[in-house]
Amino acid sequence: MIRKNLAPTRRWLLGQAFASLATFSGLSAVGQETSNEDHGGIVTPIDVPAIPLLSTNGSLETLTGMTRGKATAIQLMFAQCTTTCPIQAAIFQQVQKLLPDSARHRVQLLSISIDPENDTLPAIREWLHRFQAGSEWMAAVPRAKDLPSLQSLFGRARTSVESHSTQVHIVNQRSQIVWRSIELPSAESVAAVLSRI
Amino acid sequence: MNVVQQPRTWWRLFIALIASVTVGTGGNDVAGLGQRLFSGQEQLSGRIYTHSVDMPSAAIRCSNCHAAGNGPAVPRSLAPRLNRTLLLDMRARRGGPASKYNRAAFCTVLRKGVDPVYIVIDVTMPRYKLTEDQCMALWAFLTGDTE
Repeated sequence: MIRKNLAPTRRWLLGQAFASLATFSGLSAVGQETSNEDHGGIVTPIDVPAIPLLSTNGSLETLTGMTRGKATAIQLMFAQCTTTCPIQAAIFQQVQKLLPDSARHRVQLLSISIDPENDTLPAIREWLHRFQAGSEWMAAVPRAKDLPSLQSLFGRARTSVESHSTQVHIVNQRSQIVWRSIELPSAESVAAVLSRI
Repeated sequence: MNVVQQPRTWWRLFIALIASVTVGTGGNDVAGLGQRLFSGQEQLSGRIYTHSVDMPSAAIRCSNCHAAGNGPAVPRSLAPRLNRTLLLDMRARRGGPASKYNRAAFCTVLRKGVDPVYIVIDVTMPRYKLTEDQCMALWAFLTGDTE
């Protein structure tokens, strides 16, 4: 009788243990929770190409170089955007606050402009300043000819700047895209995935 | 006794005059509040419906995306211009059957993101925490309807 009563408890404990293991195993668990074609964990991580980017510190880098060694949350934006970009910026602002201190040195936030014609370095720096970007949050501007590649990777292949994707992509320390959010994700979801990679 | 009554009479007349002026401009006051709410001069509370916390009010101003009435367009925005015609004409919206807004339907779409024919609007449109007065004011500003 006692055994019968205990059995479900033991099963439940085992279940919890496996659930915890899955959680601590990080991204695979995230992928299993949410994976589908549109958003969630990406089963086969996608290598980011070496697209040249002008970073806010004025140096010409590559997307691969900028993302190597740190878990990176990437969003597309442009400085003159008054519609979804202030919301996207507010999400990154909140992510900054939610990141645990232990994770700060190994994560970063990257806002990539999709309007290289207008987004000069001063404009993009002012944009970061306007939204109180901290040291983990940077921005970069691509060349116009690389926009299709960036839109293909991070923007649902949209070509219109006005209707750009508001998803956040997470790139791991090996410069591979491993997670894709819904449109305008919550800061909690972005911070949680970033912290687990 | 008469000396005391006379000032009271004048006082009553003065109050009546003020009241009539207030009633006469009531619609403008309401629409004025609506204009200030729309432009962000007065703050609105709201959030993206998939989020658990409110957005900063500056990020969810109506005027960030929408032009109002005959006012200037919002550069590089695809959001519709909000005016009496858009809201009150019978027309198909978001692929649904023809519909039009009334004040209640307008408040519902702002609060819950559900349009007059029960189509859920895009995630990028915030859901607002509006008082009845705020909702009435926005409706009055956009349609001129203060009833």
